[in-house]
Amino acid sequence: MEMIVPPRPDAGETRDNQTFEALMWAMSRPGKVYEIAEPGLLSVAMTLVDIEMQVYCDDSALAEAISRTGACKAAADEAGYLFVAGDPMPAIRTADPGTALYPDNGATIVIAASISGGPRLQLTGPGIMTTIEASPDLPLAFWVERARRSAYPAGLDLIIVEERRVIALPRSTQVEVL
Amino acid sequence: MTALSELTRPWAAMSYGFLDASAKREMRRKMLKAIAVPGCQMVYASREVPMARGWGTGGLQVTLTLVNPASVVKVIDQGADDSVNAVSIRKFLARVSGARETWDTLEATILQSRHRIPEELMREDQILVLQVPNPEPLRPVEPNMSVAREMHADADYGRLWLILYEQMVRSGRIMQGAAYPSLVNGRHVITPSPIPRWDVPKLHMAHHLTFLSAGREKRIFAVPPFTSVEPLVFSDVPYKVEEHGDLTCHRSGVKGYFMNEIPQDDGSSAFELSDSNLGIKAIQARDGEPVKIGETWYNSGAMQ
Repeated sequence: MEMIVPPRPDAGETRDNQTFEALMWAMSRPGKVYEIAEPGLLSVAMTLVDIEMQVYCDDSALAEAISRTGACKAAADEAGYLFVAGDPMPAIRTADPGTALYPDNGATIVIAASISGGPRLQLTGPGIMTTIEASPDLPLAFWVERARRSAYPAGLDLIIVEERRVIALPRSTQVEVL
Repeated sequence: MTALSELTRPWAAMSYGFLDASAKREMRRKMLKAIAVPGCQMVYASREVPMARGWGTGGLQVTLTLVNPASVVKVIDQGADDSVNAVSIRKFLARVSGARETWDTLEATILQSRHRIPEELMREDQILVLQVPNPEPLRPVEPNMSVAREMHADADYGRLWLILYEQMVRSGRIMQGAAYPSLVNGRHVITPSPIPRWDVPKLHMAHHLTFLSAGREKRIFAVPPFTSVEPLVFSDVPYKVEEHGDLTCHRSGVKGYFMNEIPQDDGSSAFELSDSNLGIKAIQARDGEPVKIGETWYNSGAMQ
């Protein structure tokens, strides 16, 4: 008889696994709402970043918490991940969208914002059967800037977090403001 | 001040799911990028796993990142759950994660596969992880990786059509049997790993999420749900899957799916279902056992 006890994940592993699964499905099905394990940007940061990443954060308390993952603080145009608790415009204006040669350099912007109550958007693209509507609470200028700064396959990937709820808009998603 | 104890974790014999937390975070970042740019190859570190490179280490790292105690894993090798490679990977996954093992496509939450996509329709909550030996569709026409990267950046895929054209000139038909180059989301050409032509249409506008990961080559790419996957064809030469629609499995009597050809002593051939668990379920159903066979992509040899 086999006497090996199946390993159990610790609390951190469980949280990160669950959060990643939500982020993965959110990225796969843009505009659809999923739930991460714990509310807020920090649990997304814990899941994704560590000493290998350059991270920008506009909130000093959150930046301090994120730096405990080992991630280096960086300017908005050099960071691979941008965590935005305040005004999202500086991030979308300056984040690095990568190039057609290296689309993997395109940054991910994680924004704390309400996932409803903003301008109505119609999304199409991979992960969406026909079309889907979303209305994250971000200004109209944000979507104009996003369109201006993407030249697929270069572009910026967006994750919008409201408490535990999360939606994602990868760069492959076409956004039409209704 | 940060105390040293805050920066370290309590001692453990092994990380949950074998990979350490840092390796998993890197995989997660690359998996999200792979989804965000469907079909674009993302480089990753490809950590050591207790298996030789080239035996499914790429798929294994994706599965190890995804797996949790509630996962149900199915691992197939050319359609079979009972090959040595498939059994070893599945046992390893269960041992390091506590996940449940299954042979049934309908039960699985994560399906890791070498060179086949199961015949039963995959649902929107299922993840397919394909092991990829050579992720670069341009390698036969451009051995220099840096130049191939530029060709991807420019969507310069003309030479792939040239290969297909040469096959037609030489043989009268397209001879590409497996790893048929396909255009994803109208932008990036991928090799869908050496799945037969039969399986490529299953990726087109699928309900499930597919990761394709090459551990030896350190590249990962993905096909999200509802993403177009179009095999490269000429406008006057339609894409053809293998002509297996009329073959009957000599063990289960099932007809209309992808078959393995088994040479016989008299020079003829017998055929058996490549998706072995579908065959097992068909035999169980024939013997009156309660067994659930799901909807399939193909019916009577034709894609639905």
